[in-house]
Amino acid sequence: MDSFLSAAQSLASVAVITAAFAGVLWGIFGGALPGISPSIAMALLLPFTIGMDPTTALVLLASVYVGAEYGGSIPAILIRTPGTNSASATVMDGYAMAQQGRAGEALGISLISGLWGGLFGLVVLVLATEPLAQIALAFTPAAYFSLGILGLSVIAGLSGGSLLKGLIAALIGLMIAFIGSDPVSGVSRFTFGSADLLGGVKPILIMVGLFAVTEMLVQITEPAWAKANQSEARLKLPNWAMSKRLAKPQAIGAVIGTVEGVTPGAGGTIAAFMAYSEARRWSSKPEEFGHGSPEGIAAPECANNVVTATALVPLLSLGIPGSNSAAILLGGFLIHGLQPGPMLFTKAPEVVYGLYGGLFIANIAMLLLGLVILGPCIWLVNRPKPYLIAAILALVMSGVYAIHQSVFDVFLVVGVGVFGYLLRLLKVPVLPLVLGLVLGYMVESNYRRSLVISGGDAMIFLTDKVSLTLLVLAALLSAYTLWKEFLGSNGSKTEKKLVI
Amino acid sequence: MTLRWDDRQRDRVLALLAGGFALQYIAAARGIEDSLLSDAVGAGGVPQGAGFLMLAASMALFAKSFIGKAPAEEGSGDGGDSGEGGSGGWKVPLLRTSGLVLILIAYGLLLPWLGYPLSVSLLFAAVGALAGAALRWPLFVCAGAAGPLMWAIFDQALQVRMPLGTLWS
Repeated sequence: MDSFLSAAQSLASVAVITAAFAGVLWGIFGGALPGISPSIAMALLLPFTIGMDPTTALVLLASVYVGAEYGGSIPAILIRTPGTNSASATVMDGYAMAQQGRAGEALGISLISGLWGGLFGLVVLVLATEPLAQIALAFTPAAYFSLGILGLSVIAGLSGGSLLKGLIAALIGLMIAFIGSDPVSGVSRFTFGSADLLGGVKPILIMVGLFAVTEMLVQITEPAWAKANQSEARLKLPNWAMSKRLAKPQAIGAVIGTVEGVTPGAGGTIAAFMAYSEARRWSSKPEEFGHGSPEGIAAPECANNVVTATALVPLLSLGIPGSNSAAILLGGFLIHGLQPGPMLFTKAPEVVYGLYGGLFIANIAMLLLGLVILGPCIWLVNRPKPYLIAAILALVMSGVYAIHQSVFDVFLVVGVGVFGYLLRLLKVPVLPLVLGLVLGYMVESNYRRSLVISGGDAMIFLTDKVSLTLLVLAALLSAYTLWKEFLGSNGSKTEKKLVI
Repeated sequence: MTLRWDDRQRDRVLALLAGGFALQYIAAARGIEDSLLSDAVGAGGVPQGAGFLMLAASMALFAKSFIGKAPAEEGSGDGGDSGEGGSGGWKVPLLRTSGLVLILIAYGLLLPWLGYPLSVSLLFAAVGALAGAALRWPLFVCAGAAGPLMWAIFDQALQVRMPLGTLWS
């Protein structure tokens, strides 16, 4: 109850309200642009948050996520091109409805389902996160180390089917985290004599390079997307009868979005497709799916908007980013000197509750802006792609330089972008790398602190109850994913050819 | 000429690159000198562990790429992967990507010399042209406006000092 009241206080903050509306607006535009994922839209804004109050900055970033998930459905419905990965499931029935002249109705269903999903996810976030974080009071350095190991154990789920590639990516992330001064002795490591690397590599630079620059390197080789028809897109909200019909698929989407959201690595895309599939299974009119069923839009849109909130549960309670967008939000926390995880509720509760309040405003902003933003979105989707790429890169490069007024950072981000491009060619998942990067310091520093405390006895990790519990969880999670990997490698796989 | 990789060939390339890097990394980690403040693990201890783990993972990936059936041959009609221009279609994307990287590097080099507003305008024009925009007045107008607009946002509104260029001072 206290958390609800504390969150309500942030609703009166002009800065938070402004950040929520601005973030949602930016997110809808970003999500509406095919090729700009929610995480990229967030990464583009990340450098701008440096001078902001932490709560305002985090609300801004989280609101981008909320807005982008709705924005992604706009081109999915209008031009059969999902603006975000999680809007892919919306294409099937959304575009079919658009072809039947019901584009406005489809957009209205998407908006309302997204709103319910976002609000439901927020309630889950508020209720589930704090109890998990209360365990923090029992956390020792050994427990923190084990928490880091638990975080790293989810890489299999983030590895896109190749555990070994995910492991290599995570190790690259750890190695980047080791650059700079040693956390115990202060000895410089892997700096190659560069003063710019003495303080380590800022995760934000790696994220901007991996997500934004890499995406532009890919997009510049891709053909332009289709054009949207302005006259077909007039928003029509569902009436009472339609709302009753949509209640069941929305409930299915809410449940699946909750489960998938709190599971690191699952994410909105899987949730959307699972919700679509289950909504079809439980529908009284399954034959309509794929041919313009409103339920086929409601379920995935509700599910992927639930995930915008529930994906923050493992981030806020355990410090584990379970998705690209959560990783960017983690970057936002780190920029402001905040470490998400068990102690966040003790050290900066006002930020957490402010974020809750901000997410509520963001969902309301999504509804209000969704009603008026359609025209400008269509205008933006129809802009020539070369101008969009040029504008995005100008913004990215400006933001990167602005962080430290350092040309070194510009070159670093370009280098990371090229590296990310190579990783994509080699089909190496990027999220484990980000996970290794953000957990690297926590794992190493607490491992060594624990050994100093115990006089070099590694049994400290097993005698500490919290640490032991986390290590057992990590072992179980790893064993389960290894078992799945083994089953997958024995199954028949169709390997697709890549032409470069 | 087309360069075709299936997943197993790609895994082998990754395994060799990662393995080679891991060996170099282990050597570098072993070369880290400890100070008197260091603990038993030492500044290079954990990085060495990561290096050995990467070496093991890359060896396992390399071995795995030889296990199991070879992927079935696919026809060339996979439009999604064929790139632009049919046969030889990999060259244009590669040139465009390389060109974009060079433009971004040039931006970094020119930024302190030409100053932020002009560098951003040039970046906008070069990227736009590379991405396929016609070299006509709309591109030049947008590029010309981009630099001063970004400078106004960052330098004037956000109070982040952006360089005006040593060339002009």
